[in-house]
Amino acid sequence: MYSLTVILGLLLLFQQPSGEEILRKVEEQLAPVNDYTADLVAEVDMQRLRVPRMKATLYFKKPDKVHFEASGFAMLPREGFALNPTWLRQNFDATFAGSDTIDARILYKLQLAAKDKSTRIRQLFLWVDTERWTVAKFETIPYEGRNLTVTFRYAQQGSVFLPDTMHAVFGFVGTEPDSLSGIYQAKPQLREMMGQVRGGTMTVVYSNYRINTGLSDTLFEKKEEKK
Amino acid sequence: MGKLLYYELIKTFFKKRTYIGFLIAAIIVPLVEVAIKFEGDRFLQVATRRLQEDFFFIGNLFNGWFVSYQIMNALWVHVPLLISFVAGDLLAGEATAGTYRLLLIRPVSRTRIFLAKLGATVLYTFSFVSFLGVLSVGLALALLDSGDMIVIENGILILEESSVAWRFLVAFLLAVWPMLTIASIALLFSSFVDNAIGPIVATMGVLIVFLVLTVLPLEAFDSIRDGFFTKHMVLWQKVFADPIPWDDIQHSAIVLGIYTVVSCISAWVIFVKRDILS
Repeated sequence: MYSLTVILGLLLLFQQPSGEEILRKVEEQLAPVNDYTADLVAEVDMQRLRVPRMKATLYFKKPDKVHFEASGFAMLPREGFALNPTWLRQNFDATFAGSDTIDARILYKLQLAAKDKSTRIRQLFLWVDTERWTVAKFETIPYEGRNLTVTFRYAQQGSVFLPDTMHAVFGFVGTEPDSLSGIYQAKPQLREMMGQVRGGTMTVVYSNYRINTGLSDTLFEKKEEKK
Repeated sequence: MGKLLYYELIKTFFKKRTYIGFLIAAIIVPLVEVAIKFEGDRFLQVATRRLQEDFFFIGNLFNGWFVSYQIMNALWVHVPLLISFVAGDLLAGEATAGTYRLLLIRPVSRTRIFLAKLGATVLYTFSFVSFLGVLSVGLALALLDSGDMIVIENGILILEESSVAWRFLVAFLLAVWPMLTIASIALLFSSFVDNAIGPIVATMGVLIVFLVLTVLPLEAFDSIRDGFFTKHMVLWQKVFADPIPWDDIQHSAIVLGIYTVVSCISAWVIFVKRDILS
């Protein structure tokens, strides 16, 4: 199995497309989708955070409009949601960084560096499925004391593959927040006010996709107003 | 006994001082809640700043439940003063008004008079805490609407809206319990002085001393801190944990209950044995 992976890896290396070409392939895979709506169920398991299972509805419209609705409270990861290859291609320099396998699927690994250095996430690695042209995983280089790894599982929705499950792992770099003592023990609310980084995981399950229903722009404008 | 209690209630609720607490609550709660509404969710934003960098927050966490909880958190240390205004006056007030002997020469035992006064104290405490609860929750919900509730204590906890209302009901019922402890301490001080100011000041003095000893992170007090009634006064807060630590609540209720019972029995003994000269 190992040697097969190495051979396939070498083959891919010789006929490797550029990072930008790979991202374009991902865009092409999603080309038939202009908009979609999906139901989300999210579960979070993070330090110093207890949230019941959350339900929300995700609205996406090309090129990069995203809107969420929930009857109760919901929190959803900012990075990786409705991952937009066009946005990635326009805002990052993509470099081919080798091949890899996850769950017996062969993947291209890309290194993405932000064109604008003031961007929050300056660098990340992206794994793209060589057969489906879907983003299987991404991993950030540590930023603001944390790193983030997100893996996706896909299900076929008509002619395209859209996320079925997203699993995010939030790690932190540096001091373990819970080891902080002293004033934080006396005033635990202070720790929240100081904005200590949390580690943990979040899993989001997507279901009930409605694709190309002609979502109105006003749906996304309302969100802007709320901000 | 019913008549005695009735007359005590009439005496209590016909005094202007009884309504000082209600008046202060009726001023401060709307003032704070309206100010919070206009100021917005700055506190919430600061407390969840780091999380919001990583997550989209969907839904309204800055709602009536959150604000009511903050009001409860802010007032629990001040409400005892308002309770002691009335409880400290129940026995000493008779001496101040010169009605002690007049009251005690009637063919009713001192024990029954004491029980009537104690009953009036309990009813006053219950009615005041209920008023505070209805006012703070009712107004906050009217001003800021409902929703899931965020509790920022040892971390962040989100409680589903469906489980919040009954938690508040239980929390306010539990909040009566430590106030009864305060009232009984005030009643105890009230039983051996002739001026109502003394019991109020003494009760607040005891509260401040115990509070300081409770919150100071000194190891010298670690072994005895659990016996301080002030450590258990926030037992109502535990209702907003998940899961609710009922054993801890029971323990706190027992400690507070011991203070209440000891204070009431002491007050009763002093009142029964006291030589009334005024």
